[in-house]
Amino acid sequence: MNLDAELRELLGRVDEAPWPGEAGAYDRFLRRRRRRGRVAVATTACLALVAVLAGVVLVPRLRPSRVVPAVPGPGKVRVESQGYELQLPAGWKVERELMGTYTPVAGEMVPATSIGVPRPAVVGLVLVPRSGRPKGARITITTDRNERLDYSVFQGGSRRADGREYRLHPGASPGEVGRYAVMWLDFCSQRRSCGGPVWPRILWVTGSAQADGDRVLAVMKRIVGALRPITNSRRPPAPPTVPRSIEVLLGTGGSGRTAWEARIEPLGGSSGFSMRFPWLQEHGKKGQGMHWESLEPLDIQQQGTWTLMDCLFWSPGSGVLLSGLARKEVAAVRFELEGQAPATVPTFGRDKGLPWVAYVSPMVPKSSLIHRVVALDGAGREIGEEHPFQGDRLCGPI
Amino acid sequence: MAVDDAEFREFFAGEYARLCWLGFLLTGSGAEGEELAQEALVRMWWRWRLGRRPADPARYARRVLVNRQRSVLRRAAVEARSLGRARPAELVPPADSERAMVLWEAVKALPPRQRAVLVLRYKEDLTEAEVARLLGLPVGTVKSTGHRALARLRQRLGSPDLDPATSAPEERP
Repeated sequence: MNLDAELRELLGRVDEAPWPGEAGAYDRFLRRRRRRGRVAVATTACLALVAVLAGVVLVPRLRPSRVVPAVPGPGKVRVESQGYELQLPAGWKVERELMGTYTPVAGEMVPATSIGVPRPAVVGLVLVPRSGRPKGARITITTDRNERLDYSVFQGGSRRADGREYRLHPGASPGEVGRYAVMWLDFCSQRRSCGGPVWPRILWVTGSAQADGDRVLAVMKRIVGALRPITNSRRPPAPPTVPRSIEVLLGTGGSGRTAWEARIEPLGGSSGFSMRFPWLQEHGKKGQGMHWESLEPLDIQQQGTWTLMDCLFWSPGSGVLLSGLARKEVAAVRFELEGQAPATVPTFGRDKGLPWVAYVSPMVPKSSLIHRVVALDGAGREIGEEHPFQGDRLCGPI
Repeated sequence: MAVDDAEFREFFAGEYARLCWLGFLLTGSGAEGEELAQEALVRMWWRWRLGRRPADPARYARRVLVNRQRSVLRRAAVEARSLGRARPAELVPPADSERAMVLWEAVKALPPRQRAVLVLRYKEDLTEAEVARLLGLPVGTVKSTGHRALARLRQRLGSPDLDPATSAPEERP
């Protein structure tokens, strides 16, 4: 069976398959429909108010923004690694900071830090009342990665003003007042970048006290409401891109049959990265000599690089060129190939006013196996990595 | 209205699973697929209620779903919401052989646009022009995207039916 037929069969199988969880689907639909109805009504009613507010509040903000240093204010504690800042509740202080390591990644809104560099960092807090009362009172704030809210625990819970859900878990041991679990999504994947998959994360606010547990519980609830998302718990802006019509020559290289031109140019209404091979365009069949791929800004943002492959079949013995776009802070790209010394090339096109730079590898032998393409910053540190072509040999027999 | 609701409920029962699977195939996530299906059906219901019932409601709902999936912002919201919902196990389409499961893994690993083109071409049986209209892409890009997707799958699967001379012109200028 050929691949077309296999695909049709695989994808077609689902047509008659039941969907898990179908039983309660219509009830969920009704709830959503009602909610949407309320939203529609509320939207209409609010339009006039929004228009007025827009004039008063938003217009002054349309001036060019400036970077505001994120220095915590008085009584504020900033836990960058776990994505929150906390205004300490009145009468409470930080007794202890829990330490771990933190590697900021590209796209994280972290001021004055280097991305990709692991460093010791505060990962949790232990708070106690300044007065020592209630006796034995203590609130610990920690996080669990890859944890989701447990909806079976429903002693109390709701949503914060920003929509983040939370639940109260009853105390599990003597003296434990309870634990609030707050959904605190992580928008950045470790060692890579922000803007790709969203990772679940739970922020735990755990209280204990020998007496007056209700007072501690009230403080815990205030904390749940007061936590401010920062760094990796803020949804990053969309990756930068370029207008569809833009056409820029990023650079040229090679000579004779293997001369190339790297460009950003439109094709069929989309913007893309292209490698043109003038010799083949002139001597080959119509349409040959240009390799164009539509831009994938998210891939570039996440991986640091985005690599294409050109098999130079018209120039026997010349091999393969690897080329692509990288985030603007990428100064060099290293190609790690099986059985060969790594090849590092500088990026180019930084002066073109684009959000990316380009790179082209030295000629690589056909059938090479590429392990990684590594993005390096100006200091030679790894700030991204890509595993293109999924371990297949370059231009080898498929 | 009651009659409409009964009729809609029947439509819902007949199409829900298919829409969820379509959403799942497009996104690779069961929770996201269900979220997209629910959203498409809510839109469908409003249209139905306003007396603008499309000639082919099932086809219309599928189009709405695909359009919803296209929107990056929407997708991000779906992603965030669906994470809150527990899904005990990762879904896989019904597959009775190791080869089919490997093929699914390869399809899932494709970039979203490539996967969308394959799903619309091979599951929904749309023409390249229809896929292009639906995804807001030029036909040429749909063609090249489809070729690239198939080439990737062949690479993954080591399929012997590849003709290197014709299969991946975009990668071999």
